[in-house]
Amino acid sequence: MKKLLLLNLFFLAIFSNAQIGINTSTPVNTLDVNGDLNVRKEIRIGASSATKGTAGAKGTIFHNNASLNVNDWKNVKVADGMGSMSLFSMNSTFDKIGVGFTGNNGAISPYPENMDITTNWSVLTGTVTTFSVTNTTNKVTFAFQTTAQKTVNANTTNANASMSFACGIFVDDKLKAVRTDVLLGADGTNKIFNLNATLTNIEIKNGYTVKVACTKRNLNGGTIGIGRAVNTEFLNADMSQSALTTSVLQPF
Amino acid sequence: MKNILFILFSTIGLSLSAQVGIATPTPKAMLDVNGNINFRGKLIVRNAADGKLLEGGDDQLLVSQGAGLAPTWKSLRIPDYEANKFYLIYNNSFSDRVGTTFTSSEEPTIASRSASFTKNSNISNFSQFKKIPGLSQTFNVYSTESKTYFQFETVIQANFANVGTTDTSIDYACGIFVDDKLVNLRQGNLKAVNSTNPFLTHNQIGLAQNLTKGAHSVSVACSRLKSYNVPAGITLGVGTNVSDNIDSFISQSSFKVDVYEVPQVFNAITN
Repeated sequence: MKKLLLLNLFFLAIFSNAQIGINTSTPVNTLDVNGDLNVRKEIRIGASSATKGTAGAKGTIFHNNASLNVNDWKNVKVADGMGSMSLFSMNSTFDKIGVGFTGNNGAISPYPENMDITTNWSVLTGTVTTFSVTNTTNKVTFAFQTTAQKTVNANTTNANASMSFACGIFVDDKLKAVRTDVLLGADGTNKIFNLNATLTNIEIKNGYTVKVACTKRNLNGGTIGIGRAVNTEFLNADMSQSALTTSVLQPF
Repeated sequence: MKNILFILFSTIGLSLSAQVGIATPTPKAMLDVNGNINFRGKLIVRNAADGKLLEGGDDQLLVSQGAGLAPTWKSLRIPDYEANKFYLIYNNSFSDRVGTTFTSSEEPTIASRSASFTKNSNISNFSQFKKIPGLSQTFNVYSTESKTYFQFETVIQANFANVGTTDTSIDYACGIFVDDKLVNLRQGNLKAVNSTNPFLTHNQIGLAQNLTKGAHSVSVACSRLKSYNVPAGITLGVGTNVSDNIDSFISQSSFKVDVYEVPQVFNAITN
């Protein structure tokens, strides 16, 4: 059989409208090769019954354009300087729910790096997202902004006493960056809280989880809202919302 | 003979389990073409993960998956460049936990801040400015038409005692320097309040345009400018803690450098 076909393929052109399968009895395209393909000369694409296809200029790449019914050759160039350290992925998440704290004062000691998240921390649920790192040389940057607002301080003689809090960035539930801040003033006082941080050369991993969580420090008897309005005379949910941008930088 | 084959192909399709050679009696692959191939339609490859036959999405390229696997369609993570448009070419970010501190004797004497802190002035003209060690870095510019964006954040702290209504505060400034020349400076004021060891987060964004092509150094230097009603022995920390109510992990600095360019030189992506 092989000899017979060889003979025929060698001497004759095959005219057929049927589908041909190599190593398959159920071809699903015009030529279906169930195995590897050796090509000893150029591949030409965009051929017709009248013309040969094009072999592409040297250096061009086999490319698919969904609006063409044939493949084409694409000349791909990159700007000088690209690839040294470039944006690999970027994502922004936001949260309008926020977190609120009231009751007793929280702990005011600093927070150790890589600390596991505890129940003292409340997650800004909308900020939770994932990112991946695929190169041992990498930078991961976080830019977080929210609004914090206080109410009146109930149990002190000074109704305008300070209230403090901390917000941190947790990667796989371990603390990677944190800043603390203090609100001073009358009921409804609010301020912008910023946290920008850079991690360097973290381990390669598909699917890190990142989230922002906040905790109370000194409340002095009041209520504090982070990413949430606790006195709606001055703030609404859009004004108090939180945003987290995560960027992964890598060479390629 | 041709008739027989034609009938065979058109009625039942051609099915072979042996290797097939085109213009070769000794095929070395399932289909071995000793010559060129003409495609009139699209090349479709099998995805090893789910067995699906893929024509490829728009603008995807055929990428080898190594021996034994079909090549696969992949998207290229490189933009199509349009003329006269800016693209993000270089992008890096740095952090520092060392910071720098200032005693009361480390304040410069400046007659006029507006006259002293001028753009492009050399850092040697900025007396009592100290660099934040980990933020002295280099970056590259590859086009004569560029914009460089700097974003700096740090924590400023002083070991003030709690103070009532008196204005007890310290003026400070941080400057971003490229090749030791000022591109951006912002001042701030840290005020003593009714809790001890206050601190604030300092944010700063700077821009430089059309830097020369090649390597540049960048650094951030800060200074304690002036104290108001500050008792002796008060230290100002920039990017570091001066009291243990916070620590150097909390007070660390972050510094982002983005270079946007109109690309002028292009390189092939393959070699």
